[in-house]
Amino acid sequence: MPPQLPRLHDDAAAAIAKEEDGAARTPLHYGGPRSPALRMELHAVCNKARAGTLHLPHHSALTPMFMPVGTQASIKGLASFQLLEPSVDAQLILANTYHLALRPGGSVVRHHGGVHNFMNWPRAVLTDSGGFQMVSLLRFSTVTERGVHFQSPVDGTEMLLTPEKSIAIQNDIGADIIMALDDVVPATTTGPRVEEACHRTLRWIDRCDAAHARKNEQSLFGIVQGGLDSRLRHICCKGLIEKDLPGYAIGGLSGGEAKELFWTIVNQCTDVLPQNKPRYCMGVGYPEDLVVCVALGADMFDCVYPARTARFGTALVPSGLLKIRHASMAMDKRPIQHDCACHTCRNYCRAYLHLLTTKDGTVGAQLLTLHNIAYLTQLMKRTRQAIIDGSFEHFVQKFMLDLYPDKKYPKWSKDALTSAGVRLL
Amino acid sequence: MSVKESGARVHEIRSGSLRQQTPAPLLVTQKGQLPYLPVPLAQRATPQGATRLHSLPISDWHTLNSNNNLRGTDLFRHLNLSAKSATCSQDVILFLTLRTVGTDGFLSDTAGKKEVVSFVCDGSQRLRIGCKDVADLAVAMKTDFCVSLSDGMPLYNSVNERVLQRRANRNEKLQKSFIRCAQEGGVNGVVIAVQGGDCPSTRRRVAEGAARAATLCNAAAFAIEGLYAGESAETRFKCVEAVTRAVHGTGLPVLLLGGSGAPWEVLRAVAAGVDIVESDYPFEAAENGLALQLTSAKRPLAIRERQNTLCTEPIARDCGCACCKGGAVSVGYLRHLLEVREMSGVSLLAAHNLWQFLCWFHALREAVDHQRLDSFAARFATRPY
Repeated sequence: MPPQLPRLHDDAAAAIAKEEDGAARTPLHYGGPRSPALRMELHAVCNKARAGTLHLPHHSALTPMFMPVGTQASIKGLASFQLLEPSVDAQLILANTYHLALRPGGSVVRHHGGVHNFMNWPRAVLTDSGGFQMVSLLRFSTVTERGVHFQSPVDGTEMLLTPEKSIAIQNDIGADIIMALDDVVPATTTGPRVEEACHRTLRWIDRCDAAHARKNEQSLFGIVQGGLDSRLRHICCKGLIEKDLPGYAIGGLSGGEAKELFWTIVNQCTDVLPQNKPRYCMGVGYPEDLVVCVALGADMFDCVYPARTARFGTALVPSGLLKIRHASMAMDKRPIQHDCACHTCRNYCRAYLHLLTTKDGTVGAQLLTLHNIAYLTQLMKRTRQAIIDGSFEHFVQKFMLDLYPDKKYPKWSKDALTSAGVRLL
Repeated sequence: MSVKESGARVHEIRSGSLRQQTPAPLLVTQKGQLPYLPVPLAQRATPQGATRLHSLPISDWHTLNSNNNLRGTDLFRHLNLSAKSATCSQDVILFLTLRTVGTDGFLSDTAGKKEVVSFVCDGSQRLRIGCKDVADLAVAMKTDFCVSLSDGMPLYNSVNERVLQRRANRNEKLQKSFIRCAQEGGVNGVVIAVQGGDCPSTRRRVAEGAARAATLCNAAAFAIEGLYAGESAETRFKCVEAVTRAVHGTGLPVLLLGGSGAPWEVLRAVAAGVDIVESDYPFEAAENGLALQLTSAKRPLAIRERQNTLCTEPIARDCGCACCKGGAVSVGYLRHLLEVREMSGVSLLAAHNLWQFLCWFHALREAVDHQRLDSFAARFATRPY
């Protein structure tokens, strides 16, 4: 059972927030040439879709981009150097503040010279604030105005993750982009809890900003919450834009909500978020969702999906999913994807991967993870090139046709793409 | 530990353009891959100029799916691929062996037929394999070497002279049958298995027979099998010596199969005249969170120990593996990966251990070549390695 902690009255909470926040501050100026830790350069725009470069202290990342998730400062099954291979070419990877705070601890990562040194990753890193763990570790957490009380799923120890603490840990970890602590509710939640989370997220952003001690090296992104309520999303977007942060994330989605609502919310947010700042759509990893969200104007995406689905023996391919453990793969001579340049596709046939993944499949899972991450990073690379070449619409048409050869496109993606000015064949 | 130099020798094993000096380890694989080591990492764990020898256990390949009775032979014929191509091991010398991985070894038993051996695989599945099955599989997989089918013996049977003799006779028949099948099928590199329980005199007698057979059938090597079944180390190496003395005259390499291939065991085996020692030691050590430091003759480093949390140094500054080279991965990071049970932790450690192990074998070959095996072995005698 999670610890039952007293809930603070909203007025009291506001008072605490104000105390910890200090005096009211003028908005900070980030983004553009004045931002020391981030600069967004847009190369081409195709309706709402954007191709750009995100200049960060450790790497100039090409957008749109898929960011592989390394929760524990490691992509599951892969060594850092494998992500640098040209066939993968990951621009930026994610780590998680809460998990790293538990083990090995933010101070330990700082002792190792920051997360880049720690995991021997020369390119950019983004740390999530720990807010998502309110959903993923729902049974172990309680949220109050002060912060989130977590009970460690590892050893049961309790931790109060306040906005200040989350930022302090992220300052220790030293990622290029850090995320503000937000009050996350499951995507399908409705009612007053969503409103409470939305407003609390807005209150916490000030505390995060005040606590941020490395503004010259790390860029703080705010996260738009508000569930599936467009009024709340509007309030949250507006509130965050007023803070003039270096970048913005769209959070609280990809949690089982209807796809119609998902794209509508993304569309609504990208309509109002600043053009000159990066937009990060959190938790999006299905190839179709990525392409649709790029069309809607998002730049950055992350998800554990490619690595997790690989461990279950599934490979991502242009036509959808390839179940490598399926009996039909047992004698298949072909590679997973004939035009993929990843190590797995260059060297192994499906029949052999079937053998490797059916039992004791450590190496099999590693090989599939490599392919799946390469698939998504290359998909984003091709998308980017299409935007630059002015052939984005044609690219999306072909992508969707590969996925749905019978042209029975899902209504939500057709609607989303139409709203973004892309007509499907 | 005292190591006699009498039997130790530097030899060479070759297949096509690939060659490797011995003593060398025969690394146990799982479905053609080194445990925890995908090929890109395995390549970065191999010093330049070294050729790895991989053991492909028949149990991994004979029956691929017991539900539809899909066999490895059918698969490779259908794919028209060699095992090297399928497993991306073009720069490796492959041996098809009878070792089962992930179990306590194999328990063999007569299956009522003269030319069939059945053995328990993974604790539950009983495989029945005939000489022709092995020969067909070796041809389909195009392995470089193939160990002949033989019948091991539970330890409790060794005390009975009659049983010993009966098994020896049976193995002789199996050997003849396998050689005939191999010649008919065109198997590359026949390796003759030498059994004989834990009785040195029986081992010697069987080995003498194997040496005669080897000259007749143009065999490529000998494999000592059926040990590591509970006998004492003293008995084991007496048996090994009995075999190597009987077969060294042929000039063919001798393999020792079935052990863990830990350094102390390798030194005993090499001193007894063995050229190639089957081993999964680097991977077992990695699984247990141990980083080998063989090149500096230090005991293994227990990565999981708490004091390593803040260690920013690699395991060994002078190590050329993917893990240590250029200070790439610190001990503290490795500890973190192992603590949070990330797959890549064991993988990186396995890469380091393999590099150390292969380098150590290089040093061992030099020691044998310069006739200073005793002093070399003494460095590893006082501490557990």
